[in-house]
Amino acid sequence: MNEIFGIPANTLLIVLLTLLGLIFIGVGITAVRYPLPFRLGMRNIPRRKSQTALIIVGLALSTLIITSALGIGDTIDYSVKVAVYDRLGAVDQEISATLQETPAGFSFGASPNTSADNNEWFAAAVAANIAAQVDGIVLDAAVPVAVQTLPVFSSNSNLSEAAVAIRGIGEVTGAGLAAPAGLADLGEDELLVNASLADALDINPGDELLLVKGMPTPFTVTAVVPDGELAGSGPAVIWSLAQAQAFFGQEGQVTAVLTSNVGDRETGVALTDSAITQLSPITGDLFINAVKADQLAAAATSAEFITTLFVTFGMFSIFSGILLIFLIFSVLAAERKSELGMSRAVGLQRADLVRQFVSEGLAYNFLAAVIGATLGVLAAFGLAQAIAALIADSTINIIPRVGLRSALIGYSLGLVITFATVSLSAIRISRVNIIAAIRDLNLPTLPRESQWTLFLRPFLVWRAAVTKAGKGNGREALRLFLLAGPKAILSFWGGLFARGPILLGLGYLLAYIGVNVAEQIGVYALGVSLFIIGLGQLFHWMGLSSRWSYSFVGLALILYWALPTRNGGKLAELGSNPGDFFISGLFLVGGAIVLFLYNADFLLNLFAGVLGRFGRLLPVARVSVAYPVMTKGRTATTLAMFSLIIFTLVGTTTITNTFSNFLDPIAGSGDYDVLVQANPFNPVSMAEMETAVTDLAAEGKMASPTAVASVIFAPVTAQSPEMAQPASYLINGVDDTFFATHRLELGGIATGYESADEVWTAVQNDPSLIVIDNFSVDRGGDPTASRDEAAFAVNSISAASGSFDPVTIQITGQDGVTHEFTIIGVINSAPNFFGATMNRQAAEMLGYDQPNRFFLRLPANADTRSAANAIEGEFSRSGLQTSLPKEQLEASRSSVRSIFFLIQGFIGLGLLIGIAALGVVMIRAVVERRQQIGVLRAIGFTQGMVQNIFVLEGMFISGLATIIGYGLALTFSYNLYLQVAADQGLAFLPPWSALITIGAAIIGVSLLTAWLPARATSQVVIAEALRYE
Amino acid sequence: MNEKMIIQAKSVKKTYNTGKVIVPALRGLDLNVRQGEMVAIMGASGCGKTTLLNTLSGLDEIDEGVIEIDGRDLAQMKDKERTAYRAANMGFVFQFYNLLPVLTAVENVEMPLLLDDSRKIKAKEARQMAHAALAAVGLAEQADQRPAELSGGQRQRVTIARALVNNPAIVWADEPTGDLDSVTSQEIIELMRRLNQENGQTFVIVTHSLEIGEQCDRIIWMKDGQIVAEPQHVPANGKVNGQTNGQTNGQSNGRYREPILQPNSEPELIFVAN
Repeated sequence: MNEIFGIPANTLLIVLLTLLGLIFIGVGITAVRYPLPFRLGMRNIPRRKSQTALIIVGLALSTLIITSALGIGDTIDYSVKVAVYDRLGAVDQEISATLQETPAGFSFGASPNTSADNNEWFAAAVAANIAAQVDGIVLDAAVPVAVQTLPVFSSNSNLSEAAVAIRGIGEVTGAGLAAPAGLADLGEDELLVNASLADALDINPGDELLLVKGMPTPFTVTAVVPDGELAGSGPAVIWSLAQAQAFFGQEGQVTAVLTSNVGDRETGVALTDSAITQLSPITGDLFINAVKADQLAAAATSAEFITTLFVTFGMFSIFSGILLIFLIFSVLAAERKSELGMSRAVGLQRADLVRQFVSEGLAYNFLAAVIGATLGVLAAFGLAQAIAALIADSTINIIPRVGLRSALIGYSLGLVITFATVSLSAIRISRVNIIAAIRDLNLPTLPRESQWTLFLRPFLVWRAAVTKAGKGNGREALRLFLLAGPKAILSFWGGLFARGPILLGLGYLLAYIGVNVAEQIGVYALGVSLFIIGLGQLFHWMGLSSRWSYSFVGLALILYWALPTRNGGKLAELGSNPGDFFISGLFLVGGAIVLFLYNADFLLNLFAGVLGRFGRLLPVARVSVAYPVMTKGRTATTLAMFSLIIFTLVGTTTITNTFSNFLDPIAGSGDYDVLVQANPFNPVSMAEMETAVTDLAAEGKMASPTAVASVIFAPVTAQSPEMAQPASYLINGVDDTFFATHRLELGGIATGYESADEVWTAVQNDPSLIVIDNFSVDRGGDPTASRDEAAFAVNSISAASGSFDPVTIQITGQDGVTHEFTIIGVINSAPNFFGATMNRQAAEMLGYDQPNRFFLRLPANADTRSAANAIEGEFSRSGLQTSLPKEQLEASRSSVRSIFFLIQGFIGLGLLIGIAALGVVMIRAVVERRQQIGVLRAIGFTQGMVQNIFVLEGMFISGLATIIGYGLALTFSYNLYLQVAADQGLAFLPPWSALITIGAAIIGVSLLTAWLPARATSQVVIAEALRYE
Repeated sequence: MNEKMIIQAKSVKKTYNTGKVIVPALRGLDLNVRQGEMVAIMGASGCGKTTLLNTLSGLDEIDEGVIEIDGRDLAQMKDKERTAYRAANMGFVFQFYNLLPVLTAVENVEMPLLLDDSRKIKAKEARQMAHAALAAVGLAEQADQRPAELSGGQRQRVTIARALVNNPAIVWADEPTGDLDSVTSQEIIELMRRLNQENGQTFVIVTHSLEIGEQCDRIIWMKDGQIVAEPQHVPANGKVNGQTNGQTNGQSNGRYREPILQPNSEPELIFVAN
């Protein structure tokens, strides 16, 4: 994987290692020059071992998440590349009459054959010219090939394959490529098969194989050769070029010339550009397809996509991890408040406190990053194994692999992030007021200086500098000019930042850039959010109370991000990227936390008031609520962490559940288990099919079907009123059994019809009425919808609306006669029923009377695969093919779901951070309040009441976080659904049982983290608790 | 003074086992305190004063012996029962105030009332009583302030208000003036004495200050976990163990030096005259 979030991985690594070096050098210098703070920092580490362990776990989580995300990227990158190397071998270029396009974007699968499957034929003379270019400098081999696709049938196994590459391999020039073993010895009626075909048709050497080109022609298989390179990687028959030319009647013609660059199968690709330059002058109109370079680039794109996906979802956890570090160090600072005050009192400088905490933090970080990176690599291997198991049917093998570069990036990024966080926390901690710290006093906060004062200060400083200079005190003048002056200017801008104007301006600028320059909705929305925050600050500056000002900010952010306010006009055209999800989560949760922070007292008193109505819960509730109110910052940080993780988990669970129903196996297949497609050149009648099925069932080769429906599936041209000219389309002329047994669903019903049943009955009885697929109607707003402009379309019907006015279209059949049909229904997504579905009489009107598709429904739990094989075997000489539509849809959905489950599992790692955070807060709370627990017990709190204080406190935090996370995630998901999925006839389906389970588990575990330490402490002898310091 | 014994301790033994050292804190101690009596427990550091107070009040457990409070053996009660008894019948004043920092003064004071199951006091009534208790200790104006916003003396008054608000039979005070200057100490002790006399409550006060001890009805001297007769040497300024207020205001004319303990030696009080 070469890029991470668009940044070259090597550059990122160099930057991170440099930062890492600077950090270690900086702390090393501190250790030498300032041994006392360094020693104090180190001595704090073993003071409380369990706390140290907790800190290291907390710090390690971020590194773990980063490393595992990168490791997954490496795995995908490596696996797809290996698949490319296995498939293409040493082949680097393919010269053919057609331009090969490697599909962009992510795919677990890959094109099974080299692309030269059905190329146009061209004169073999070019191949000789290309072979002449094999010079051992750039090119080391060239071979002409002829590849076509045909159905193939095995006489021995009675199995067939509809699309097998028939690969004629010519004479290889150069040593870079080798013809498959045994090719040179083939007789006229002999051929080789590759391993894929041998597996598919259960072929052994000596078997007879029929190539179906018009009439089946028999050949004998002499050997099975391995897949890859010249033998292809999809099912393929291999023989000589001369045999292929003769069989296809294309003497002197080829379909491609494959060339190999100097180097092995992995290194040769580096010479692709040179090879293209060398070959271009002699290839004329032919295309030089850089197949390996293109497919490797696609592999890299796939890996980057997966990494981006995991890192994006991981960002919530990483951010929560950063909050956790802040929290840990805030708690540490609170715990050491009086000793910090004492340290300052006896002469330690503020900078010494920073050095002390940074040294201590780096020691934690160093260890935590090693643990995190190691666990991250292990997690990546685990996730890779899981992916491998989930996509076992894919054409690539997932090979777990985490590169050293990724492990180093994960380690150093984790360490740099945590170090930066620790340093900021340390600076914050160092601003301790000595007296307040020692005496545990609350000092009033001094009001911020007026902006006017801040504006004047730089001038006053400069004036003082000039005065000093005038008095000959150059050193002081220089200090004032170089240090105090810039500091005063910074204070001025800091004041503006805190009071709103900066964020207002920055927000406006970002919004403008988002719309007009970057054209990214994320940038625009970020701008709007900053503008909202700036507005709140401005209100406060103008005199509005902080509660009202920042409640406005919180509420406005929630409303802006949660409600679909960003859809209209020009905004709808802006691009988006996965990072937007992170930003939206951040601002939504941030808004909720700000709202809480400024109304915590009200909320908590309400909580206490409600609980206080239950007898003895009042004193418990009062104490349990008082602590979160008193330590608002700590409470808000914990809430933010928990809410963010819950938001992500619930959001992805809901979105994936909704979207994975895109293909409902029952509705998508009509609830048919087996689809039989007859060879158009060898049709099978309904009577033949029914007889065969009855016989097979009687012989015990398959279960007796509960329904057998026949369909005339045929090409037509069709034109809707809005189309300028007709376009290709398909019809499904279905029989009465189909009408009686199908379970297709209608997403749209024409006005005048009350129900789907009424529509189907009308279509069955009236040949002028049809229903059509939902791919051909308007799918505005669906980013996944893509349709050729020339394709048949009825845009007057919207997939999003349940009803529409009937539309009359014209369909021309194979006899050239045009008929009018009225659309009265739209089928929900059902891949096997694309086209116009009509009754049999209507299909006959269009010139088709022979059914070529049969849909079978088998009893529940019947072996569908055996049934399909039995039917295929029975009609093998007809070239008949079977498939399992319901099973395929189920597999497809389950594959998508599995991947999302995996992502949810990955996000679940982040949940550990949330729980660890609550654990930190609760364990610290218990330790901090041990003496107070003694007092509570002394004045009459029972052990149970003391435990309840902590349980209620934990319940309040985790409960509120759950409400915030669930509320925001469900709102966000619903809006996303409205924007994207509602048009596709999908229902919004939050998986309630899973969500309830997740919520209950979160609250349960959280309460446990609160209850366990509280229980232990409440059982301590009161006198001991009172003595605790 | 009532002749009824409210506290009766017989052959009380308590040993601390730290894992490395076994420390006998109370060595078969006998003690009786009459109802309404104000008693000071005095002695050198480590003599077992606080342990005695903790065991008498049920905050700590004893190894041997019997302690009866108003005729009831606390050791025989289950923890829940003992806690309820404490809530209804005892008040506590500690050296470092031990107020709940997150609650206001009035919220701290009303807590024992809300916990007293036997009286079923409603929240509103509890709040009124807490305000009255604060007024009684002169802190009516500071009712809504948190401990961190109060001075040391004010904090201790809140503690006293909390200890007395539910009109307990016994008030236990462990170094109630240990963290205060002499003027404030005197105010606090006078306040306690007044409340003792007005309400007839029993006060058991652990203290190093002889001045405080002398204002009580009786001083119980302790040494090495046992009650002893008065010490042989009493400092001229009336301070034992020199850690208290006497030295902070410069009025001290005597100084106490910590005894040097030798292995297997008995700790002893050594006073050095100025």
